[in-house]
Amino acid sequence: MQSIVVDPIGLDVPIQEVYPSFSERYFQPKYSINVDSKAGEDHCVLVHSNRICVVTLARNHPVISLCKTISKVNFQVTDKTNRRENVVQGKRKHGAQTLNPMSVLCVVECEDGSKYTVRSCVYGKLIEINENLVENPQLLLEKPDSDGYIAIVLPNLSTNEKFKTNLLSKEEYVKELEKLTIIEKN
Amino acid sequence: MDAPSESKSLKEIYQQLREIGCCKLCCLRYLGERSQHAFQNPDAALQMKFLTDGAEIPENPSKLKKSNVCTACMGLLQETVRDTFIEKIVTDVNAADYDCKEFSCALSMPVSFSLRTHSLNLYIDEVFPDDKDEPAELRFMSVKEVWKWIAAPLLAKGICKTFNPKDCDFSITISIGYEEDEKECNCLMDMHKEIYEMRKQQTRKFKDCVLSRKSVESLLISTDPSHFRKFYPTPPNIPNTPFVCSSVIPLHNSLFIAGRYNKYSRKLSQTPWLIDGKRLMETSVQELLCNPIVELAKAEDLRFASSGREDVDVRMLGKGRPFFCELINPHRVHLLPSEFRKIENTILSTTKDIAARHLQIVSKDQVSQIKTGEEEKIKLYCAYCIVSGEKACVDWEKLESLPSKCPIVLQQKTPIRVLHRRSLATRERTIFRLEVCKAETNEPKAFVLKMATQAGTYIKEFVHGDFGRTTPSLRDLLGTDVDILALDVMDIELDWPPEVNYNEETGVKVL
Repeated sequence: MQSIVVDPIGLDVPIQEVYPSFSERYFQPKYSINVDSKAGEDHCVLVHSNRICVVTLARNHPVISLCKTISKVNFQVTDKTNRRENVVQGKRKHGAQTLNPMSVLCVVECEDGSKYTVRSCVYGKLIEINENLVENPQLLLEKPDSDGYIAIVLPNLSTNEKFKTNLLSKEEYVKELEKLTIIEKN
Repeated sequence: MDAPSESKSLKEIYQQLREIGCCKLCCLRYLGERSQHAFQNPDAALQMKFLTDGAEIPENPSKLKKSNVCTACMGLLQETVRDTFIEKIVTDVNAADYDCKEFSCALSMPVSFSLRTHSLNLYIDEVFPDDKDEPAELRFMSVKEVWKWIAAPLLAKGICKTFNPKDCDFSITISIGYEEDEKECNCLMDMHKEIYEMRKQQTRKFKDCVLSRKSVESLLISTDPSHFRKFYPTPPNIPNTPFVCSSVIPLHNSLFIAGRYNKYSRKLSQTPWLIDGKRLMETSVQELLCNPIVELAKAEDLRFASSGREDVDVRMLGKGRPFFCELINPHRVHLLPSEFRKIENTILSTTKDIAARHLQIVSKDQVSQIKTGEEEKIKLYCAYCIVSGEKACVDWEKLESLPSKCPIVLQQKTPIRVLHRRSLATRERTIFRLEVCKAETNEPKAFVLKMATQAGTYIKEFVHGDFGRTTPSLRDLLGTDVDILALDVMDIELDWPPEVNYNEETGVKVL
């Protein structure tokens, strides 16, 4: 029987100065600018290669850019709907709360009294909200593009293509931001 | 129609059966004959009963042509039809070229045959009732049984296999067609109008067959004979055309080939990777492994299964992963160990991406073992990790404190990367052992982690934490961001299938 010589693990991994993070490797960021027509309240949707969307705040969002202290992330979005009560079953995520881009995922309440509404930005089924934010709301600021995510959404297939066009790619988003700064300066 | 009479002689019965259009063999059946020998030599058997003394038996030439199609067996037991059937079966089976040594066979009859048999049985019960009042359908040999007695030895000779009606992996299904099947069955619609009206409406349940053989048979048993007679003649009319052999379907039960495989490529998926019917990758472990096996066994199709699976970018090293391949309808089943070794060597010489070992035939019972104990079996992994962040460096002291923390119990939420096709749940998984080593690369930020884990542990998520959805993760344990850049499965602790003793086999070859 022939024996096969196997390369030691890692030899085929190119050495890099800075390695991309887990989010950068698997997710494509998409942006929704001035959500709710409120300046600066940009959201980021991390789209996994399997189309699952992770909704989070963009770095530009006042909560992050102004380094707010968050007192509470409130998931009781209406009298009847509490995002924490979302339960999904089976592969198809039966029983999930359905979302449209304007659906409220939570309200971020800051110690200075300001409140920020976080919206879904995509059509789909709510798979889970980030329970860790209840105990540790500051994660939102500290790790917005990983552990500080707000919700995981399974986008509807039929509207999938549509939402992709509504959201901005990273390049488009950067351009938009540049435009805004120019307007501000003027 | 004659009145029931107990004093009818065998000769009288014979004559009457001939008159209604039964062939000699069917007469023998209805005379209660039960020996295979008699049916193989009908003239002698009839003579023994003193039934055929030359031309003495008067046949009514106005009613019967010289050789009508038998009203009972529709020609199946009559020489001319019988011979064409057997010839077709032999030709078809030989063309399909199976190497198995035994065969069994089954006849699939048209629905109208049930109707005809029922009518004949009613007639027999009335004209020649049994002393013990046993119904005709139990008293006499069936057409199928007698056909097999006669056909089996001829088929055996023609296809060079032994007839084994019980416990045989190879079966020949013969579908019988009858030109006037539908026409004869139409009377059922009137006989049981309500039932068939109902069924016609339940289109989903009785999609393309309002008349199944089974339903017709059970319906006939519960039909009052006098009601039956209103819609169908007893005895049945003599058929205009005989049965025809509409298809011969030989089928061999699945053959299971097991073995272990290695995967050396990080760009090879386990099974064909299709999205919207389009191929994402040129080939797969399954195809590289199974294609030569399917070819060897000349199978129609295959089903691949393994003890777990690795990601496309994960190598499967060590003793390899147990797998089996179910070969559907194999035409070659007598496969030699030397042929398996040849396949293993061919795979080695044609691809660097995979290897197969311990290929062998396993039984169906053995196959089920691969699935039992799936949860308990331990898997060994080797992960190439880096500490991320620009100024991060490996904290060896902290890393070396990890093994003593084992077993580490994880709470794993279904990883985001598989969340689109798996249900959401939090699962408890255990890391039994951990070992930290230096990487054999020039990357100072890298280290290698060797682990023994419970089956079903998601290793990549254990390392990076999946946005805090696996706890604790290696990141939590080290207190710094880590990422996994390569993963190998080193072993799967499952002793299945039995190991092939290569030295012994090659020893035999040398001799």
